[in-house]
Amino acid sequence: MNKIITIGLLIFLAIFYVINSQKSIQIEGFYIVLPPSSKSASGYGIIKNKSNKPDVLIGVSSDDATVMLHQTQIHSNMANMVHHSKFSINAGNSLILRPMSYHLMLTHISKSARHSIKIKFEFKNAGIIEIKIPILDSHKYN
Amino acid sequence: MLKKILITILLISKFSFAQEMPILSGIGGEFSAISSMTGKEIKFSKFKGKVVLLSFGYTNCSDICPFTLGYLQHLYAKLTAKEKQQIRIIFVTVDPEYDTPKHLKEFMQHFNKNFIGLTGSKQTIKKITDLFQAEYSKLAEISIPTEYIRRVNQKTFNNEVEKKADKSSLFSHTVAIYLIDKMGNTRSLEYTGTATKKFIEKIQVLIDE
Repeated sequence: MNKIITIGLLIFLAIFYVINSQKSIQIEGFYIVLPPSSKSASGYGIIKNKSNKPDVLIGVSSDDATVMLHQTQIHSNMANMVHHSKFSINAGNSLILRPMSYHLMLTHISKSARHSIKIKFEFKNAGIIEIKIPILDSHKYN
Repeated sequence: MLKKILITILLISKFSFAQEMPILSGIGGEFSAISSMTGKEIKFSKFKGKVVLLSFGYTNCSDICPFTLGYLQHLYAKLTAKEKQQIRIIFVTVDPEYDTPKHLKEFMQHFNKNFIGLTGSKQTIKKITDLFQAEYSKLAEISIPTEYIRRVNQKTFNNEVEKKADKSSLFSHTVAIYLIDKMGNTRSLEYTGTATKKFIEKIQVLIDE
């Protein structure tokens, strides 16, 4: 009987941990810009660390494209792209992906991915969070 | 009386902008390239009499180029119909291998049917960038890791044909938008960060010259 209670408690704690750890990261407002005739696209949005400890984005991937976390840097009037293999987000802070700054770079995009692409974000603490990101054909200006 | 004062203020402000935009000697000049509009060679001097906004980039550029053209699209939409007739927006590719005239046309027309893409041989592109003191360099074939692009799990392709068809390159390149007057002189270097109101005022000054 005690064994059953212990196992039940462990399962409950595991589920509780998974639910809470997933909530610690909030991914908001993502969209992908893919102009016609372009073979690469960028993804923009906000990743919030709502927990009380730092977390690290250790991977981004998709079955529909090669995905990288890039940062556009402008030096001496030249735009360069720098690849980041991980990104640490402090407690309560956000990683903002926007044009001419951090962005997801998508290449080798499947032809079947016309309206949206599923991206997996992998965090050291929060684990894997998969979201479906809509594809737009241009940036939206007000 | 008030009308005269306002006209005087307007003239002074335009004169002040013109003073801020001296000819940037050594930047720009005559060249020929293939136009996305016609697929035929065109001389840059053909645009004399129009104010030109010229930028460099490539269609596989995922971040800055679509953003720059989106910015120019946004700026263009704010001009009057008469002003639109007086300007030309030109995008010179730094990836002529991939950016054929047909390809560029599709890309440019997505932003605006009046936007012009220019391409040509590698030598042509080198000549144009040299004229405008612009720079570009190939970072890598996307499938080849470099110092900057590393530790990437490549998407698995179903077949070799798909893999071959997907080959494309990354470039670093100059991000300036060259504002060129009706005589073909470069007068100002702008960026996507330039407030559209200020940029439009500069364009209007050059239209009125």
